[in-house]
Amino acid sequence: MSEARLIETLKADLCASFEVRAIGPGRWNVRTPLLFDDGDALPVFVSYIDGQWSLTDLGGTVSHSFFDEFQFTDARFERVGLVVSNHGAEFGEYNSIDLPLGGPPTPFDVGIFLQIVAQVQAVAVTSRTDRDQSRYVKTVQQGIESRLLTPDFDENWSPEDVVDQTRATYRADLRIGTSGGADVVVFAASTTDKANVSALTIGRFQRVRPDLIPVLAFHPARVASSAIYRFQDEVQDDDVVIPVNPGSYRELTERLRSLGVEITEN
Amino acid sequence: MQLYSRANLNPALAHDFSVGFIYTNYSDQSYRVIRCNGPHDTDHTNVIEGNVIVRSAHIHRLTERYQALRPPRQDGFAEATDAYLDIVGALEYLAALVNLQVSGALFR
Repeated sequence: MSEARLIETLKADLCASFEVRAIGPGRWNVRTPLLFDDGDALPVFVSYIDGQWSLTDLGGTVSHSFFDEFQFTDARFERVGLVVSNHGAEFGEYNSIDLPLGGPPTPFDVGIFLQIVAQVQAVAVTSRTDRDQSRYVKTVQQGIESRLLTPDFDENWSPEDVVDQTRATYRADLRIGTSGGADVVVFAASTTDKANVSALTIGRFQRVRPDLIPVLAFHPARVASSAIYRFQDEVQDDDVVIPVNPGSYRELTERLRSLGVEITEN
Repeated sequence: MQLYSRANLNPALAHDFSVGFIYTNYSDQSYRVIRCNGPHDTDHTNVIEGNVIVRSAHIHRLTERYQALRPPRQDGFAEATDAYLDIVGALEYLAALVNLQVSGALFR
């Protein structure tokens, strides 16, 4: 293919990949070649309502980008809000991204709007760490609970004195009563941040409940050794940290059994 | 396997919904196996075949050839469907498709 032919073909194909069509009174859809990873188009709509021009995604970006999320956290929406406001746009009632305009949209307005949508999508991608952490906690909790021979356990547990005396939230992912009457508290960390917070939390717990037996289950490929050392230093015991890959609980269950937890061998 | 559903919060956009199955393996890797989407106001493009589904309900499926793309688009392939009209219908259709027996009401 000659250079001239390449330029001509690409230019024609690019132009053909853009389209504007009416979808209702005062509303038009702008189709572009920018797609989500599942092939659905990034949502761009021109709106003209009560004399006000704007570009909007009709809430499609948040619902599409977060469709496999099961926790819509305040922190994520705060990040989305920062991205949106940074470009002079607004985060609407139904999680829509709205960019008010002084007149009919120009190609540059559409370009700016596409940037916003793409950046909000990036927030979803960077939120995967949060999602992976919450999934890891759930996986470890279920992995342990399904093997317990005792009903004496609680998820997201905190000693009553800690709840009464503190403003921040300090939680262990699992508390399990042992045959000897003591409580084992399990923290599950697939991020370095979570391991650091777990060290802080067990320190807080042991000020009011020095009898608690801590265990940190950590993802061996994702948690920095510095955070593991911090947890060990906090409780002054090197044997309380167990590397746990999702689905592989043998070492963890053996450790829990040695601490007096009634748990199956498999 | 996780069953999920999501819908646009705007009541005027009730046709913007998605229900599907996500499989997560022991390495914590997730795969969107199948998703039944509503006829949302944006188009879907099958980038390998080059066809566009315009504002119609469509079903995304995990395929080997779309996973082989760079970057991978695991469920980038979709087919238009008229098997359901709303999110409840989509969930019932998905349940029948994967032989999931529903006990009680799906939505209250």
